[in-house]
This record gives sequence, structure tokens and C-alpha cells, in this order.
Amino acid sequence: MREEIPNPAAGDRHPGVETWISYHGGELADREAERLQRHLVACPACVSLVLDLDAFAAPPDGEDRASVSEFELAAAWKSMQATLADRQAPPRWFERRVGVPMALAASLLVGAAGLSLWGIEHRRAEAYSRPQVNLAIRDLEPNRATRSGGAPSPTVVRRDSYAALVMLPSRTFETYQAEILDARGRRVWSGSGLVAHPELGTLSLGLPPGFLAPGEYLVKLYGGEEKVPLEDDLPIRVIP
Amino acid sequence: MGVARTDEGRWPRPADSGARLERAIETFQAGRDLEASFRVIFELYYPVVLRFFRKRVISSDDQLDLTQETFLRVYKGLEGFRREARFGTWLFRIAHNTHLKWLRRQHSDDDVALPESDSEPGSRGTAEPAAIATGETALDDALSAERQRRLREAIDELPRQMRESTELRIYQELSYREIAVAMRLSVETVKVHLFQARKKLKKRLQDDFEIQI
Repeated sequence: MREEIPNPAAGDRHPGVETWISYHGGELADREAERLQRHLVACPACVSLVLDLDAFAAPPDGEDRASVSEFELAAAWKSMQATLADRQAPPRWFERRVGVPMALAASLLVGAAGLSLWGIEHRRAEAYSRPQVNLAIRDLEPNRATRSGGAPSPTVVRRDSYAALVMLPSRTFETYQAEILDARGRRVWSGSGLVAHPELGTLSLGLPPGFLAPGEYLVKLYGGEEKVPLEDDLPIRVIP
Repeated sequence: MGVARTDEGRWPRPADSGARLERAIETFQAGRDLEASFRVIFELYYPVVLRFFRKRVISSDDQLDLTQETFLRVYKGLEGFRREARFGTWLFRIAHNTHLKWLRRQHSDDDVALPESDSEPGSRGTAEPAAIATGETALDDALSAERQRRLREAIDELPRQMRESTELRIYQELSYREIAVAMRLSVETVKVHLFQARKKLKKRLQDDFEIQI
């Protein structure tokens, strides 16, 4: 018959994290390790903990990296930088090397580094602490004629509002690139590493308040790293 | 945007990652190139830490906040990190403690007492073997209660490691690799255990039903 197994459902305590670290590191006596293995068989939560511990302990590999897009990672790092700058007194790299010109350059960099990055950074901002109305959201099938048969009309975005553009690309790629061109065809922003929503197939792009001056713009999409042009242009009009 | 790839355009291999990590820690602790070296660490481990919180926290905002909080702690504590443990293990402790702290905050907001911290392996953790508790697996669907009982008895008669590997496979639906990690065995050993278990169970149950493990 089976030996007595700790039953977490019956209130038996889970071994502590330090115990699991020792177990994973092979530092326990056989008998203790066997006791813990019996616990694992009955405890998916502790199994999950051990598997996570193993993922942390091993050098990060490509599999882990593939779970986060380059785009997300860049956004997360930007957000991290902002947090360090906010919370620390001040971060040491600012302390040592950064004067006003560098700080100014950094702020300009944030402005230029990509619309997507704002999505996370602005989560902390005052504007994100309450619901916002009238976000310009467009479920886009670019270049598709309107119901009346005409060319797609521009998505209208107020300059002082945050706008989330949701785009449905016409072709499927692993990643996408996007550009925003002004009325003269000059590129005002570009970003890479966009990935489609796994189920909906949509791409999203956040336009922070004030990022674009009033005027006409075109959001262009490209597929893959080789930048295959897609006929998925989204006209937008920024109004004051 | 910002993430160094190898010349072939692939993510760095684990060996490369390990060497980069070591260099980054050394550089950071020496007080040189703090931002650049911390960024290397951040980019190497961000997916691992995020996945840790994705498994435990429902709100994606909270997942991101906790991931960031973990790295903030890493930044603050890295200077004092002594190489007595692997960096990854040290980071795991920080992530785990960050999660526990968050759970306490959540529970105090809800005015509900939280069990003692160190016995909280995961907020979503269930204490029941998944298949038995939920009845959601294909195996459960296919088997009657009587068949389950017979299977249970047959599994109980297997040698310890084989039995535990089989239980993890059937009731928690772990992959071979996950069983190997949990049981501290090689993947090959797990395969052999499961192969043998399948044979024994078939014989014991006299082909009454298919054993798929």
C-alpha cells in the first residue's frame, strides 16, 4: 500500500520555498527528497513552484525569450528605466554621468522611441488612473471600402487624448513593422516587433496625447523582418 | 529595438546567455556601466520573471507591476549579491517574496487572513491532483469510477519512482521534461519509467482499457 502522503487539501503545510531550493539543488538527504517527491505527486502548486525554480536556475534560453516579443521587451525596459528614474534617489547612472543635457536627451528619446512604449509608461500616469471616454479605437481592415463604397475615411484622433489603434492586417506574419508618415510622406515614427494577438490576429498601437501635431497621417504596416509592404494603410487625422 | 541578437539573428544560446550574465553582474558590481549591465540582466530574465507572475496573477497590469517590482529589487540588491547561490536562484527568491508581499497586500485589502507565508507556493495553487479534483482530462472522461479505482490500485503497486512519475504524468499531465525536473531524474529515466509503467499497467489491467502515458 501507499505510504502516507502529505495532503495539502487536508491542511498539510506546503514545504517552504527554501526547502524546495535545497531540493532542487540536490542538497537534501535521500529520505527527505523522497518525502518531498511524495508531496509533489499530490500538489500541483508545489510542482509549479519547482518548475519555475528550474526555469530561473537554468541560463535563460531561446524558449524563454520567444515568449516575449522584442517589442514588449523594449517597452518593458523603457518602463523599467522610468521607474528607476522615478523611485530611486536618483539611479546611480544618472548620478554619475547625467546632467541636464542628458536628461533632456533621454526625455526626447522617450518621445521618439515608439508609440507602443507609452502604453506601459502611461499606465502610471494620472490620466490612466481613471476611465477615459472617447478613445479613438478603430477595428481596421485597411483600404477596405466603406459601406458607402468610398475610400476609408481617416480615423479622427484628438491631439490631447490617448488613442488606441487596433489594426487587422491583411496578411499573416510572425512580426510586423509599422510607420507613421505625415502628409508629406515624411516618416515621423517607426517601430518593429509588433505581434498579432494570438486569437484575434489584431495589432495595436497606442498614440499618446500630444505625440502628433494636428494634421493628416498615414499608419503603414509591413510584414516580417524583411519589411514586406502590406496594403494596410490607415489614414488618421489628428485634430486639436 | 534594443535586444542584442546573435549574428545569425537568433536569440543567444544558453551558454552565451550564461557568459553575458556573468559579465553583466561583474560589471554592475564593479560600478561600471550600470545601466547597460543591468539592462543585460533585465533582458535575459524578463521573460522568465513575467512568466512566473503570469502563472500566479490574473491581472496583466499586476503581472507587469510585479515583474517590474522584482527587477527594482534586483537593481537595489545586486551590489550586495554574493555568489553563494546562483543568480537565478537569488532572483527566484526575490520574485517569490515579491509575490508573497503582493498576496499579503491583496489579502489585507480584502480583510482576510493569509496563511503563514512560507507555506504559500502559489496563489492559484490547488492542493488536489488536477485530474482527480477536476475530472477534466481525457482520461477521466473516458474512465468510469470503477476503472479509475482499478487504475489507482494498479499504479499503487508500481515501484516508487515509476509510480510517482506515472502519477505526475496522468494526474498532473506533466511533460517528460517537467517530470524529470520535479523528480530530479533525467528525461531518459523518466521515459524508461513510463514505458515500463505502461507495460505493467496493461498487463495488470488486462487490456481493459488503453493506457496513454
